[in-house]
Amino acid sequence: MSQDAEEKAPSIRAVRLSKWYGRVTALQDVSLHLEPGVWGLLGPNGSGKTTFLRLVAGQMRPSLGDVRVCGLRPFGNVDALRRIGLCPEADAMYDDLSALEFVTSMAELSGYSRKESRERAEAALDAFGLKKAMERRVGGYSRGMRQRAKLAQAVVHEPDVLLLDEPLTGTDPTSRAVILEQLAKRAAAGAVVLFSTHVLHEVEALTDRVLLIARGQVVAQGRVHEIRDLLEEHPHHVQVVVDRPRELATAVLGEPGVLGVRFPAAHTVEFETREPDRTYAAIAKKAVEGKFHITSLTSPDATLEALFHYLVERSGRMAGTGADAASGSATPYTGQNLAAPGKATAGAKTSSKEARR
Amino acid sequence: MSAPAVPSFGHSVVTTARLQLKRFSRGKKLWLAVIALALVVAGVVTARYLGTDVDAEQAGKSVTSGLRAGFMGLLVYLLPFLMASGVIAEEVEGRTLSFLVARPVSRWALGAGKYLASIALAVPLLAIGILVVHLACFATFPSALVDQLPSTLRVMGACSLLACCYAAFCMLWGAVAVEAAGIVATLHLAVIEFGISLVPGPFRCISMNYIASQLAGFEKGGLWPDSTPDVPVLAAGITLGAVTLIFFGLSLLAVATSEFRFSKA
Repeated sequence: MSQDAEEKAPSIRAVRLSKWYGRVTALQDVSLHLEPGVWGLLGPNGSGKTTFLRLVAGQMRPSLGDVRVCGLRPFGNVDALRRIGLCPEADAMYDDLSALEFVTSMAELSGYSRKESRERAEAALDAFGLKKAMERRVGGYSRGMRQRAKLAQAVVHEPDVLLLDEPLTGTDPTSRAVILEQLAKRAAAGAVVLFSTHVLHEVEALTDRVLLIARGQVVAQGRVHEIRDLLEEHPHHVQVVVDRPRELATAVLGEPGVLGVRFPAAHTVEFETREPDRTYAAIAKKAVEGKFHITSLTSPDATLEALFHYLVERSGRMAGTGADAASGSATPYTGQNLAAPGKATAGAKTSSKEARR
Repeated sequence: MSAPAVPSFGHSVVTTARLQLKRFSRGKKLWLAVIALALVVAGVVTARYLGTDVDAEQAGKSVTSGLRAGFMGLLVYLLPFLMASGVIAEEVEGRTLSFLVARPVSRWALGAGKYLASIALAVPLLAIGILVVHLACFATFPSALVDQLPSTLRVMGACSLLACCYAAFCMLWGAVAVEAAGIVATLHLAVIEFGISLVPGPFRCISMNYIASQLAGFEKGGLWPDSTPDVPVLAAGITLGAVTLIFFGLSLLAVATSEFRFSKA
């Protein structure tokens, strides 16, 4: 492929992209290259996902660095914007219009004639399961229906790059299935589909390629199973409310994977473990054998958020020691060392795990 | 994937204006404007017929003062304010602007379309109101109905130009002071446009309302009217047009370059 054709092909490229609002850094030194397919942008609330999507959608200018969509800078660039479809996160729509009027108007703004816009709008709404409700005002829609109408306007002009900010928020299982099916179709047709979420299983339903973003930095890029490995490596905490916490601690402490124990409250014991599944099983076994009376068994940090903190802290530590140049965003990606799509760049431990495989 | 070609500027302006007009037609602002217009028209016509033994000349004076107070003094502020101050600000506040700026439409066209929609409602409403007042007030004097028409059309033209000018003011404040668009636009219209239109001396020429009053052929009012310079009709028209274009251009510039509240989470 020639360089020109390569630049015009559906893609998102960011090089040392940064954005700050006053003194707040929303995005810092993000470099990546996304090719056609579905990409999950994972991160906790406030991590910079929306900022990244807005920069790619041309709604804001970068404070530093560069972002290109299909080889073009998107801010105020109609040539780039015509190839982008955006579904914003906010549950805001023109409530006085019907879904058909709304999507038709968006299609007209994309350059279609009125007649063609209407036909395309009907088709898009039908694809998202809103055929019967398309004449109703959006203000009377449920959250899931509104989400589907927003998605319909995002795809009505068949964009090459589809940016979806939390597209599954508020959707029921049926809506979710419809949305996922449509996104998969778009990706199969050659589009770059980038969607943000903070729920790992939402990503798994659609793709195994993810970007992990935290504190404005891409801390990992890779496949979902590699993220799962990281979750496994990440020390978990298992909190048990029990009648005899010290006796239970003594019984469980010798089990494989258990790293430590502490007593945050009178009847509570908290285990730190690298193998949460085995630890849960061991606690259950000891509880039966020792006739412990367990009131609750919880894991306060078995979430992506905890993993993000872990990755950020670890990448920071490694940057400090120079242990791993490719670790998360400790060393920002550049045009030269961009990770190939799908290749994990989350840190030394993932690499060593791959080596073990 | 087959995204269409980038739409032309004209297509973008017309489509944006049509969408905005559709939204106006479903919202409360249009109704508010119509109600205000109906009340003012009813007030002017009632005042005209309250006098007894009125001749055509007195009727003409009554109509002139009614148009001056009701239209030039009230509706010409209210209608552009209702239509234009929120066209950008409300999209930003309501977070719906994302949908528009994500389209391959130049932001200049987006601003122009919204301005066009604002004046496409404000100006005809004013014109219709003035025409209704004319017809209703001179209904009992068929000759005056014709004789007075040129002066009524002159008032209509002045009010229309002024409405375009005020719409540009309001849209500019809506684009640059999104969160306080209504307050800033109100202050501008109240202090600079209304307040200064009453002060003595040449300062009064700062107010476009005074310039439009001169264009409409109204007698000078306010404090020490004789201390205020007369503005020739042509100069008044050019001034109004130029100020409108400047503020309209500035509002488009604000729309084209601003990140609005996309910079907020």
